[in-house]
Amino acid sequence: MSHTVATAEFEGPLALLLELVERQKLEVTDISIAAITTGYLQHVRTLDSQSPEQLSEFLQLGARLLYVKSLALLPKEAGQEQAEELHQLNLELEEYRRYQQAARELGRLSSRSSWQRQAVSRLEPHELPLPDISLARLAEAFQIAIRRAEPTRPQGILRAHISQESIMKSLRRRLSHGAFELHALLDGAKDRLEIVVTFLAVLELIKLAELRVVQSGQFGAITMEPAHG
Amino acid sequence: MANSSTINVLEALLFVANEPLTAGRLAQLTEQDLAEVEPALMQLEAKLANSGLQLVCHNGEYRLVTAPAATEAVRRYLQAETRSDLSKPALETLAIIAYRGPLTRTRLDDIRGVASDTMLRNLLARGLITEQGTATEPGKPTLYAVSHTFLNHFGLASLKELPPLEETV
Repeated sequence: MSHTVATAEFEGPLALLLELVERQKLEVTDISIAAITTGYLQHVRTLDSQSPEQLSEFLQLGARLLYVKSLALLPKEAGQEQAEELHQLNLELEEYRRYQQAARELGRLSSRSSWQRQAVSRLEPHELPLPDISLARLAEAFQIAIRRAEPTRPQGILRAHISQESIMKSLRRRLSHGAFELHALLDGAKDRLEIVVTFLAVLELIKLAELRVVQSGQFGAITMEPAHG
Repeated sequence: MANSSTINVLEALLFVANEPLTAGRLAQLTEQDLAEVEPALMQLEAKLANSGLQLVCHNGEYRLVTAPAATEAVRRYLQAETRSDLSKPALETLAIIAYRGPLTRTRLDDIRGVASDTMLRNLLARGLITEQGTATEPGKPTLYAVSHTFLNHFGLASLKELPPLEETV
């Protein structure tokens, strides 16, 4: 009978001892302790001595096995002690075996998993709804927004609507009442396109020498006035 | 028989909570007596038995989690990686802590016959076990127990659902 367990990597001395006991279908009794001890020590010899900590764990149990084995060689008085030692060893091995079995069962449960909601259970302060916003006020705000948005029409109509000509016309009308500020002109613009067209209209009127742009100083207000005023 | 509205409110609370809640806290939130909440929780557990959710109880704390039957679909939704399986020694250590915990490292080492500190550190880092107080023996060593994450990992509703430990031959 070979006692060598050559290939398997054992997590610890108990795992090795258990493997030996199970493989040989033996109990850790005084009859088989000799065989088991031999097998155990043979395996320990193959261990990598680079890891003294691991080795010491194996040696500790090895020493225990040898001690139990040696008790059998002594006269009767040692018999009782040997029985106790064997009993203790059996208990430990049995406990370890049960957990090893439990670990296998646990491993089988690995395909199950549960998840908990990941949602935030408490709203952060900035996420809290604003106070006293009623549904009515929300509706009102919506109406105002809609009204403001109304000038936005499909682009084709918009181009026809805000033509440079019509802006020039209204600029001429304003100029006939005297000078006015650029700001006043642009504040009335409904969108970017209107601002752009207004600038084009201003440039056109300058070119036609109908309008003059005056600035009082750096960063000062820009005023439009009739060129021939 | 607990008030069915209490059961429903408990269900709602556990639905929004993203932390385990004790029965005491649930009693506070529902403005009910603890004596009322505890049976209601048991009835909630029974009510959920045939649903996609399950009530988990661990260390007196309750959570609502997805049922194991939904594991694969939820995993796909969360795009959670199919976890790399725990190594044999890791499972062995976990099993001992699950069945025998809370226990000290020394006791764990005794059962396994090897030093377990590295293993303990790994399991702590993965959140599968937690430190749970200290033992009364000299030196007050730390006690280790499995965590809520452990129960999630194995889809268990409580430690009572662990496979029964084999009887001593």
